[in-house]
Amino acid sequence: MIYLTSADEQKVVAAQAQICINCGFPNGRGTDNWDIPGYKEDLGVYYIVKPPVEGWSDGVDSFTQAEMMAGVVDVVEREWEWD
Amino acid sequence: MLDRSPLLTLFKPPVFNPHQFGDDLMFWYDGQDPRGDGSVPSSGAAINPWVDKSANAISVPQGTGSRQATFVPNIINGRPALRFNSGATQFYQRAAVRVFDNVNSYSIFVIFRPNSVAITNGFLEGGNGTGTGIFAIGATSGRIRLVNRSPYAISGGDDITSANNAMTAGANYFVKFVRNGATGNQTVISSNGITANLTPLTQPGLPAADMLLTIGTNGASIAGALLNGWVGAIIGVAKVLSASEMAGLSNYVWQRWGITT
Repeated sequence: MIYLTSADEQKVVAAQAQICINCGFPNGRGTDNWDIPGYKEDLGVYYIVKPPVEGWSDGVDSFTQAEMMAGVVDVVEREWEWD
Repeated sequence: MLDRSPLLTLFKPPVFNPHQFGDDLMFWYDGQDPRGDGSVPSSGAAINPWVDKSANAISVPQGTGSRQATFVPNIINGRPALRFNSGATQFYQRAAVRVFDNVNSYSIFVIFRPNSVAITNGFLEGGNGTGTGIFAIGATSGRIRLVNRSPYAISGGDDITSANNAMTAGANYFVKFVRNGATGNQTVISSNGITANLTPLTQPGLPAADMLLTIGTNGASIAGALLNGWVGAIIGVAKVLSASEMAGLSNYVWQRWGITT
């Protein structure tokens, strides 16, 4: 899985906030945010899940990956799987 | 030529569904009808909440978009299911759930198609929010497992795991997790014949207490060791089924999921 990462927590927080703006989260239908930032200790980075290639839809709203990622800056994509 | 169709209609056998368990039906999460209203989500739609079709209405939400499972219309023998992603980061959770109050015998049924058995696929946990389940079911590296603890012991409890790997990625399974307090047995059985049994039991029945109910974990850390595959259904019943009830459920699973139990 691909994540958006930064050693600076605020960069990841800002990226998540931008995705929420792009998707209108909270949307009043139970989806409040895109992801909750985590910290991966072995890499020393904060992270959120990158919007997937197929985008996101709840059947009412639909967003492509590009739409979700518009304006997201200052984060580095990294890929890993959890053990 | 005699028209037999009215006779066939008159004698058509009733179709079983989990509602026939009545008040013993604790929860019913149906991947073919995740919204509980008969509507069919579009392919790939994120599902929130996963609606409980039992009278208890313990629908489980997930307010974070990336952690919502998605609807796949054609996967378990051509039937729908919810896809929990390859990153194993998706789950549903609801606090202050009252289920299995003072129950010493229960049965939980899961229809599942793993995408990976390399992780711990945790189906369901009723816990206290610290990762220690009061009851938990899953497939640890493909070996099916049922843990029952009371009240919230940090370790131990009635813990049975099949010795053999019950699952391979890409195949469809019906798994039974059964605790029989009357006989002192705890059993896990998969549709491909893998079984394990624990007796005697050391834990008392489940208490009447609020639980944190989670689909997508068996008590392991939320960050990662969750679920990677397609869940067709999770059904919880507060008893051990009779032979006729099990036959009805088996017929239901065959008709609805194409899985021979």
